[in-house]
Amino acid sequence: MKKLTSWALIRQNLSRKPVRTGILAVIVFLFSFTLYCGTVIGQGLSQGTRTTAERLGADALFVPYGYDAKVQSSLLRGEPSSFYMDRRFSEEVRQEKGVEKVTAQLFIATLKASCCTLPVQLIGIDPETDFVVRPWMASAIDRPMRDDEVVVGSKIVGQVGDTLTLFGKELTIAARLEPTGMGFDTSVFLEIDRARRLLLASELGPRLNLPAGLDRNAFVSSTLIKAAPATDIKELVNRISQKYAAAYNLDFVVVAGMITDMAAKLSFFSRCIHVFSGVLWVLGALVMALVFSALIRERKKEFAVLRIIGASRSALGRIVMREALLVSLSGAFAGVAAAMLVTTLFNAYIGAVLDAPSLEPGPLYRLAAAAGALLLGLMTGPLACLPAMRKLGRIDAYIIMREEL
Amino acid sequence: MKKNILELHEVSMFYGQVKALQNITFNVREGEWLAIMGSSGSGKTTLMNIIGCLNKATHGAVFLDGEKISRLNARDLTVIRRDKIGLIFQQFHLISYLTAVENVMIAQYYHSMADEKEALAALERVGLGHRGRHLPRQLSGGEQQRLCIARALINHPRLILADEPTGNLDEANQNTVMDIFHQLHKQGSTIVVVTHSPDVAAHAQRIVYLEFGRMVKDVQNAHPHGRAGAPAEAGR
Repeated sequence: MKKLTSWALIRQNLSRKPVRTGILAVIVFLFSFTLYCGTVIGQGLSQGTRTTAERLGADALFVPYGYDAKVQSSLLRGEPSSFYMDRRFSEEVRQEKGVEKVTAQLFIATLKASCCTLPVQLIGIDPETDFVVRPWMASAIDRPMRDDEVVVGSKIVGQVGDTLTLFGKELTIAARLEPTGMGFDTSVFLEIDRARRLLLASELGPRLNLPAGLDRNAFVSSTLIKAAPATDIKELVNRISQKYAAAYNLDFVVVAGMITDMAAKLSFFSRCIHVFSGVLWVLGALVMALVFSALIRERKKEFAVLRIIGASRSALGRIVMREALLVSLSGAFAGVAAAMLVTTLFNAYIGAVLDAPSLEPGPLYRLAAAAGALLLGLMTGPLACLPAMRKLGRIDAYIIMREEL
Repeated sequence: MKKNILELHEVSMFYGQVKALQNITFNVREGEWLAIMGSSGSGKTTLMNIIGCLNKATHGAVFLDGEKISRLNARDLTVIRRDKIGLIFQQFHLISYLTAVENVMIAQYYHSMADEKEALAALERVGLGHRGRHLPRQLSGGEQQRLCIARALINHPRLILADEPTGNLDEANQNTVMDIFHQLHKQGSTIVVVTHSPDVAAHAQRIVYLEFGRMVKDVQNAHPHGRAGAPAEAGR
């Protein structure tokens, strides 16, 4: 026996106007999609930026002149690059007042690696002085790396114990690092002297075009400095630059500035997304309000009949409200589901497009964002149909019936 | 003597300066068939509106089944209309996207609980048992009117209120509908028909005539069904 309930009536009415129902659902879909994507991507970027600052631990980086942008791309997005400077700078700068820690890193871009289909960034670290990677590496490996071992970033393919072939040498993966949202995720870490030896022994070695005067056994790519507490970093960097820039052909990156630039970009992006979501919501709600208003006009006679056969005004209100809710529910669910899929699949790509490190927020945050987007999406229809419901209250059933005569 | 189902005492309806109804007083007894006749603008619609609990009179009192409905609020009027009145319209006013049986069930749903078996039985009674799964647009005018009657009857109303029930029908269908009314009357239903047609009014036991918002005549029809003789005058 067929069951007739108000929900059955609502479903029947919605399905007999699929285009109208679809348009209303698409409006809510777009709003929920944008809201979820904006919130999660914004959070991912903000988390990525915070992590970058925390992970880097350095206050300033010195690189060969003209490579300041390259080092940022390499650190933030893992774009492989190779550049070289004299290691002696890192020894000399240690003596400067206000410098607490100094370490050097060697960046080597591989064009082929058995581990990956894409080129990876090798980062050589100095186990004696490193204060950037080691503290963070400590949670993954609690002993010094052996000469034939590497530690890989979270996005490098391969399990702990697997071997990678780098410059013809087989190296064992000793540990995998937690995701950072930075270029470190697509980097392979090894001891700096081992990295240098690998490079020189490879087929690239004889063709390596080092800047004039650079010792083939003592070159690095960057020198990272941690300032002593209460030191004016800008003043320190200016002082070091003035003293060493000419001799070592240096350029520098102030990490705080880099992070501030990113934060400003993120804040702008975040504002844009929220303004866009807000505008979309208002426009969506307006369109829905107009559609519901037209719908009430179109269904005036049907509602009048229902009134006459005994439906109260509140019962009619419930029909309209439930229709709006059902449409919103389907649109919001589809929007949030699609947004979850897109943000999961394209998180890294979005970060790259926005030129900022991105870290996918945790499941709890994503769940909360999904619930929020769903809730706001759900509210769109019922709120938009409120003005139409006021019209419904003014339906004078018998007069409407007589108008038909 | 049967009790009054409907009582109107000095009922008036004013729309600003316009006097749509003035001092209408009459009663309808249980099981009686009354026709309200009048030309366009006579106040028939306004009167039906008031009896059907769709509007409230400006002055006077209306009692339905012993309950004073003239001062009830809109919500209570809805309940009275749902529980005690079966409305039949000239234009049928069916829900286009519901099948015939669903159109009957929807009236059950707002009254108490939808019961498909009972709804199909109601369709059977008006000769539409085989058309239960058809949409209104798939039915002829006469069938739609019979469906409207089945819907009006499904909740066993105390009063059947019909507004020009044959206005849109050809002669054959008019006769079918009037036959159904006769059956209902025989079974004890109280019927009030609003019409401008003397032929339809002639089926009633009693006819109230309206002109310019005033009741001008209240006559007993000595020979209902228009079989013979002229209606006889009756006291109010």
